[in-house]
Amino acid sequence: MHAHRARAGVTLIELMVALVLLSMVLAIGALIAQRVLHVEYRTSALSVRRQSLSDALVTLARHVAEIDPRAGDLRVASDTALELLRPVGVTSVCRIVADTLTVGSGSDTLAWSTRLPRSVAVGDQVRAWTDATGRWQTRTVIDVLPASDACGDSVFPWPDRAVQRVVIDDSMPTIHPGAVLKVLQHERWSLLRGGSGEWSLALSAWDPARAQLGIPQPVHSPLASPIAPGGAGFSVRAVDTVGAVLTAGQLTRARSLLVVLRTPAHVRFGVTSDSVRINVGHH
Amino acid sequence: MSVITSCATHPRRGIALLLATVMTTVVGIALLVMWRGVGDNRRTSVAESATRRAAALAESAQVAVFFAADSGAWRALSVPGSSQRIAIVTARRESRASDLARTGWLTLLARGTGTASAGRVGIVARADRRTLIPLTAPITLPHAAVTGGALSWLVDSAAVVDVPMPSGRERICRAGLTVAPTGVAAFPPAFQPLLLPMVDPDTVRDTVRGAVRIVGPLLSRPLQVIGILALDSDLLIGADLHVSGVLITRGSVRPSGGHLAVTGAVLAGDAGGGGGQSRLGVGDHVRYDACAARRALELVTTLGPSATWTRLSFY
Repeated sequence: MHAHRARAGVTLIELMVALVLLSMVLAIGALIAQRVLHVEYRTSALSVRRQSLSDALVTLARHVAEIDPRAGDLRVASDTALELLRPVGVTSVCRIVADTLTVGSGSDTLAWSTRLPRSVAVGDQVRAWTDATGRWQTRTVIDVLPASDACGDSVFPWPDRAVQRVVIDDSMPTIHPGAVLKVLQHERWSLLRGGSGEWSLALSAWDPARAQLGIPQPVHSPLASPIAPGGAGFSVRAVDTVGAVLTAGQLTRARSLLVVLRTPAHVRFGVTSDSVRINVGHH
Repeated sequence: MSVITSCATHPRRGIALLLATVMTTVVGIALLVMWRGVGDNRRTSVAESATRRAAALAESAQVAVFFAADSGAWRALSVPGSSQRIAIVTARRESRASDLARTGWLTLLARGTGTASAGRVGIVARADRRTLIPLTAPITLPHAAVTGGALSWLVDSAAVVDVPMPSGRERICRAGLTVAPTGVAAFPPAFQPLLLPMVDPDTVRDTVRGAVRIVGPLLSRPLQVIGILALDSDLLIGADLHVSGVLITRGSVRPSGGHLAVTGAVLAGDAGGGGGQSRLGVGDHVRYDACAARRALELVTTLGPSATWTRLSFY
């Protein structure tokens, strides 16, 4: 009976030994796990920093890629400022009378038109394709009124519905209903210091209510200051076909934009930077 | 029963069981957290892959439109505002559609759309690619029924030059153009290099359809053309000539025993060397028809060079 009990139970010493062994194994495992986690954290943090820079550059590239420098879409591209006219959508001309352009409502079901992501606003630029010359004509929107009638005119019917009447700063005499119409928005990218003291890549879009560029919104932060030793947190240059850097008066010749984003120096990760070459205009 | 009894009799076993339960719970919670993290990553990854897939589908759909346009599918779009579904491909989790539209007499719009869905939660991504393709026409629509290159036409009192009031489709074909019975305009410089098939009017019995050249100057057998009839010289009309479309000559057009009947427009360059002024004789009849002229001019209209195509996609 005694022998049976001894075989079935666990002595305190056995339990202690088991616990010590388990503790040792756990301690070694925890050390290894901590090292792995640290390396993982470092790699992950670096990756996140690089990825967030890359995401900001992709966003910027999407805004910049569709501009046409020859048409004057590139206003400023130097140091830490980039100012441009960005196409926000394409629709068709519904009707045109003197300096008033009626914009079609557009629809995804129409192969020639898309519903604009937002309404046309005062201060926007509209660019219409002219069949006769094979060129775009650009005008500035000075007033916008609602509309809701059929498109086309007595000469040229067009299968769409009117949605807005847009008063432009000058007439476009050779445009006919159905002409492809691009709507462009004025915007500015710059390196700005926010209330927290961090420098960030900021985007300010045209504010039609105030008739000026709106309050800059941060797109990515933190970035290095404009006078950081390694270079500014955001720098942009426009270059021509042979790679020569263009000055303010030569931007219509721009073929590419070179953009660099750089974070401030971090005690653990140092400086992270990323750059992109954005080809613009016809190639 | 025996286990409970055993636990009750051996308290250390109860502690071990408790430890095992706690450890199992901790491991379970850790696994749950990991699973949620993996799930979030997976959803993001699925959305990204669906977006990329939709973009790729839209690109390939648009390439299909380019091929179709290049092979002449746009010629079926006779009026601005018309569009044509080139292809639509639908699979279980994705689809793509190719459309070609005509936005103007000299503008096409190639559109490719792609839709891709992915994941069990039903993430759907959609992409749209549009490109404006200009058309190149060597000759623009004439502004007059009969146009001289240097001199105005002489129209006999018994000849008819008719410019009807535009209505219906003719109104669309004119597109606001102000048309005169006669006019003078510089001869289209792009006309000369046009490679048009040569036709010998002496051997033709049926109606000629298309854009053709004939050797002038004398037309001695009746001829009927639907399309463009071009001559690099003067044209002496010695037999009946019926043209539905555009008659275009580098030299002048003069009657010589036959009758001229045109539905469309006539362009004379007055540079044939014959020295004569273009003339409509007794019984000649020219009726301005912008639609007939446009149909004829479409025969020599081509897609603009790809360098002039403009991407209109915003994403």
